[in-house]
Amino acid sequence: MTIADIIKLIISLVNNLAFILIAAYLVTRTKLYTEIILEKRLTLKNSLFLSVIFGFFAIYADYGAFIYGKSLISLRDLGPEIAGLIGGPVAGLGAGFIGGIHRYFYSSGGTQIACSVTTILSGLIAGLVFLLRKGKVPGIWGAVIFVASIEILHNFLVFVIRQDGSYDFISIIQAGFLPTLFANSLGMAIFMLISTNLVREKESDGARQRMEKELDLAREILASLLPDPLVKQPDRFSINIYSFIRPARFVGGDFYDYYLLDDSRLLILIGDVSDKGIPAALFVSRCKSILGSAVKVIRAYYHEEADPARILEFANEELLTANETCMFVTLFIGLLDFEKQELLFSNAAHTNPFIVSADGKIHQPEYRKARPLGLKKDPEYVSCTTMINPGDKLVLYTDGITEAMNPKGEFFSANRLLRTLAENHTSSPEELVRNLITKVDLFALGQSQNDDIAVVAMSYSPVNE
Amino acid sequence: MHVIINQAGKIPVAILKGRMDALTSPDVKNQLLSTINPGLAVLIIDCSMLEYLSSAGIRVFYQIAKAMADWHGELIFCSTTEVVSEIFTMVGMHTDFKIFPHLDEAIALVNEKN
Repeated sequence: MTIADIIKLIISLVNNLAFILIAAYLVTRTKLYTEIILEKRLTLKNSLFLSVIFGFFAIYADYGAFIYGKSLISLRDLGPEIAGLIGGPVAGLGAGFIGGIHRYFYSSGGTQIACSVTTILSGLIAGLVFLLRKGKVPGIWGAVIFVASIEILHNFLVFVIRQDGSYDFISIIQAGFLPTLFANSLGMAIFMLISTNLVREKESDGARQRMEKELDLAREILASLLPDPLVKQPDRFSINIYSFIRPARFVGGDFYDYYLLDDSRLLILIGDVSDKGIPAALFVSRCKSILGSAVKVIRAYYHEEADPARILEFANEELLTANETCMFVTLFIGLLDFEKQELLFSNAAHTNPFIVSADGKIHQPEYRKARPLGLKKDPEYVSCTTMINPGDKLVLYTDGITEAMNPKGEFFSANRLLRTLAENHTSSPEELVRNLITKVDLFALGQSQNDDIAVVAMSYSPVNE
Repeated sequence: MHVIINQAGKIPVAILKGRMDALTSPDVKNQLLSTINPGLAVLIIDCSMLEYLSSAGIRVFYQIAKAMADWHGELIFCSTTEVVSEIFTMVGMHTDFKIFPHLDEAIALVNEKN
């Protein structure tokens, strides 16, 4: 072979391989192929499909073959080999026959018997390999070794079935054994790579869908943990609470709750569990159970001296147990006494809430800084008092609001929050919350939410007789 | 996020470089765990190159401290940036851990004790 021949040969092989790549990609994405390779459904229809497609491969390969003297250097056998390896003997034989018979009549350089027979055999043997492996598709290397063996068989047959007596070992090699071997192996490797890629993709798709279903259920479970709107209002006061929660991921670590203690007192709380997503949501579930129990105890035994600080102490002790991963939660608990117009509250490292009066004054109650729940034994929690008049709005929130980021990397910050509260000092709790969230979303300008967000606004007023 | 372990005499110093959040914290935890052998008296965490710390990162510190508490080992911090200091304060870490402005001071204190 001259250098020019070698170059032409390489070009021809690369062209053929490119065709295989494109065709393989398209074929492997048909529904029928997915059925065959993933569900192993080997109906007659599927086998016919494979025979025709890969028989066509074989025919095409001959037209794109490199002609050297009396021999054709082509990727013809690749088609039936693939058909047999993935579809069994019927598919392999079918493709082999289509390719082989075409080869016999296509070129009669003296090798046509050997070549056609090899093509037919390649499909059949591939099909037998399929049966031996019980339908399991060979790995890339296994397939390549198989292809190489068929090529050796091919040349052996050519050597044996000499039709014009002029073949000897050297001319066989010279006739392109090595390039064909290489090209066929490469073609098989490429096809198998594409095919296994597909399998992996479908499997991870399946896994992902299952996960999404579980996440949906998790979200439903968490949503049902949220308190129902206050259906039973106390007799002498009308309470207006509006809340908004949006996790950064499907489920999150921000939560709130409220309990009507008696006719004139409401316990309200907001919390932010460390981390985000499922781990945080799991811990939320735990926090709620514990806090719910604490409130039950208070209702039953300490009704008169209900103290948010004691609830925090109780919750802290509970959360310290069975907490190897050191999850913690910031929490604000407030006990509103509508008769005394007082808010008794305790704060475990949570963002300090705002009280917005109808005349526009906004203030944050003074309090003693304390530790989050779940980190250390015996932190000191104290309760502080502040006034809250009818018509005032108590606004609880989590740092997802103040730490909302825009594409420039700026934070929404307490300043913007203050401004929004000022702008909404005459709004209802619902209007205030909705306007705040709108402001935050406008500020973030489509930047993905990086932390769970929660806001609760509430106000009360005496019911006029 | 990279964890670089240096030695200040017998004391391992872990330099945290980058962001410590939900994504990177598990790796940091594993690397720190492999640094501490039972009986290790002190591990110093150098926060000079710690750009950001989320609650996930805080948890890792408490988990390491918990592990070391088994043999009365101590976790010490130094060189926190402003951002990280704020988070430390919010959680109250200064009541649970010694935090030094500079690595030298941390090492000096440890050597003094011994």
